Amino acid sequence: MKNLKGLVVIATLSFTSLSFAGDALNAEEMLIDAEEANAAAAAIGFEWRDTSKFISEARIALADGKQEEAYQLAQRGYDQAVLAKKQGELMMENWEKYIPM
Amino acid sequence: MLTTKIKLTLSLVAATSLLAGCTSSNSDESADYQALVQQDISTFQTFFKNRFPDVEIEDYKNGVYAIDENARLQWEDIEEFPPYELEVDDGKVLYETPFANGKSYADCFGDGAVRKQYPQFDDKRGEVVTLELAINECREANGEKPLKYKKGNIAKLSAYMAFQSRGQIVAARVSSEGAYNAYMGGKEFFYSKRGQMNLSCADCHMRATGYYLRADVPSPAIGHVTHFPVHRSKWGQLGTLHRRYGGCNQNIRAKAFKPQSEEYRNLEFFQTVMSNGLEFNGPGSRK
Ligand code: HEC
Repeated sequence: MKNLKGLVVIATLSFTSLSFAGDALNAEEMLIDAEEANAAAAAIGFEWRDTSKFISEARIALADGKQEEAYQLAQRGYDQAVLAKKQGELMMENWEKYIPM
Repeated sequence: MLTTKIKLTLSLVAATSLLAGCTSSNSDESADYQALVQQDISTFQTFFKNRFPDVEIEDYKNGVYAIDENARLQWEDIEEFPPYELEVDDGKVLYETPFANGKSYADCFGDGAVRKQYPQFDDKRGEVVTLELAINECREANGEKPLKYKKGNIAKLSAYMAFQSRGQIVAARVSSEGAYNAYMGGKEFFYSKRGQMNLSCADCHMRATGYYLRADVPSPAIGHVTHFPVHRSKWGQLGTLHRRYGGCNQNIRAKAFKPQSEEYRNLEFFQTVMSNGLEFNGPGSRK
């Protein structure tokens, strides 16, 4: 019974997020997410080379009113930043396993 | 008779160990860190002995030319008229030119043959001090502006100082907790994969050393620090070690750190410890 309740909650949650996903995240919000994600990667020393370039290009596109282009660029930056942070976390835990013998 | 003898020996042993304990209570700690580090050095150097059984450890000061015979012949030709010669001369002039306050680098570094003192861990400040950092601190202490860290005058000055120091032996010491932490920071950096290509320094300069990666053979990591600054034909001039670090980070599509950032100073400290026992032979020339 308890489990069922939990399921309902999860289902409702994912529905709401689904119904938002289509239209909610505009280019500007994507850009903010990308910036935050990249700052998090940089904070642990694992920022990638091109991420901030995508982000600043996205900002320029947004200023020019090119929503779609801005969104694509921001998303590229965001995806890189998320991976970079994951890479950093993985390395901080496991770097000693990668010492060649 | 026997028992007294044993007793005597025992008390002698006790007395000497007590004495040893008293006099070296300070360096006891340092001995432990140095022992840990010594183990790393031997693991590291053994890796290269196994990879290149015919190469003498001392020869790793020559970078990729220690392992690539064809490239070495060309390089030896180049070294007959070293491309950094004029820059070393410029460095000497800079070194001897007085600051506005009448003092000069000699007031900080004597005759300039101080290569083997750097990088060192400064316990009071709690950080690694590299030669380039010390050069700029000497300038600032004398009312001069600091120099940019990648190329230009700082590289010429350190080239002159390296030249003055040729033949000194690398002997970086890790003798405190702070030094050990900095060393470990550099070690972690060296072995951590980074950037979009997900590669570590060790992936190229240990695993892939000796093999072609596109047009280049990555040098063995041992000896990386002995010959800097380096005149690269690609740069057309001298560049510092941290410039090279930045380039290698960019190549794997990681964001480079600033020259003389804590990250790169710790990395240099680690790499220097790994090259302990080799000879300083800078400046060098490379492709
Ligand atoms: C994708 C492979 C790759 C990675 C990863 C890489 N390098 Fe390099 N590196 C090279 C190549 C190729 C060269 C040029 C050939 C050589 O080693 O002299 C080079 C050159 C160097 C040199 C100059 C060697 C000399 O004799 O003057 C240094 C120092 C160096 N790398 C350090 C590093 C450090 C430290 C890292 C990690 C932060 C690193 N590299 C990561 C491939 C790599």
